[in-house]
Amino acid sequence: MANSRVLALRQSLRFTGELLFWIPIIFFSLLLVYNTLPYFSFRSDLAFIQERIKLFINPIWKYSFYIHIAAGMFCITTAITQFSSYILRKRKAIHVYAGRIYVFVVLVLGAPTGLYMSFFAKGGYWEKACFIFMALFWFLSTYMGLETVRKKNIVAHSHWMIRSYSMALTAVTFRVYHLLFFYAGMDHFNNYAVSLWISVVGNMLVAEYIIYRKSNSYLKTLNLST
Amino acid sequence: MKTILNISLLLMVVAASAGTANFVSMYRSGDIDKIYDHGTKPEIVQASVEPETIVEPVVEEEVITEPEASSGVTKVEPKIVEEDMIEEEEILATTTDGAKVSREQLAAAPQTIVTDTVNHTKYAEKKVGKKKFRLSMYSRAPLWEEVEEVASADSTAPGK
Repeated sequence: MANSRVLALRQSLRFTGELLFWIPIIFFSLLLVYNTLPYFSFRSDLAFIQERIKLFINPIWKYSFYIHIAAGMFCITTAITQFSSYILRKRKAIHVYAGRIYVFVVLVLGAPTGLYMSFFAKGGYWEKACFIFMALFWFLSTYMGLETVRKKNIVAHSHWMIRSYSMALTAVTFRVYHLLFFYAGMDHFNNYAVSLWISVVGNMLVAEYIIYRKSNSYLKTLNLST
Repeated sequence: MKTILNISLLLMVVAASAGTANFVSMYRSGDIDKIYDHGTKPEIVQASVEPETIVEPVVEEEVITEPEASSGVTKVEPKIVEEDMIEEEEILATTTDGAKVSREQLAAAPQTIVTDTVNHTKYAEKKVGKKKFRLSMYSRAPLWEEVEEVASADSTAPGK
């Protein structure tokens, strides 16, 4: 009896933890998508574009920018459904089709345009290098995620896709950190660099921690079954 | 599926090559540091990008000493001086002795960090002649604002 109570408590704690993890992610992801919409008016008087007006004159950068933000919107929205165990078990078709959209958008649109734009990113050379690394790692992790699922290696697929999603989410976490540091009184330039590095390194660490936890529980189930 | 993977790899190579080529050409011409000029270099005033922001009237300080005040306190009343709009783009402020402060002068002036013990904060300041400029805290892009001195130099002058 006591054992079932402990199990129920564990289950409810896990459920609450998942809610606390996913609700802010979904909220900020949808907020990011909502904030991206005004760019599709194709006006150049928006603050973000005004800051990069010298780059905006270059048609390659301009088209890369629009493709990248459109790709980002699709990535963020399609990826939200991908980690739901309910969808995976009951509605696998949603996982498959949303996954195909995500992979196509990242590999063909998001990562190449991101890589091109990262050469002209705001900040110093280290920040540019950080953006280049992000684009390459995003591409690589998505590529590996696709390759592993093609080879029916589901465990490795889920690990690579967690890494890929952690890179996609840097767009969200970067803005959250930027806002927090802004209210903490940090000046704009330090805030930009610190938020960027924390969001990239932090997301990677969180992804690796989740993978470690998943691997541990996976290994435990293997031990139980043998 | 294999085709998409090949196309994506090709796109990544093209993006990396185009990015590197454009970056190198901009680096050689020195344009790479000027992309975010108005956003990253505090020496350049925001007004250089948006000229309409500097078409504000320049505030000139005028010191009025009140002889009836026994404590010898001086008041500083700002006096609005309208300047020619064309000249405004080049001149940031006019000092009380009539000297002009240009953007170049402001850029060349050394920056000092001033600790405000009252508000428990720090400011970046530049001094050009008698004028003091402070890096704005409320502007997203760096903006050097002229500091209006409350206490006049006359009030602390010897013999007072």
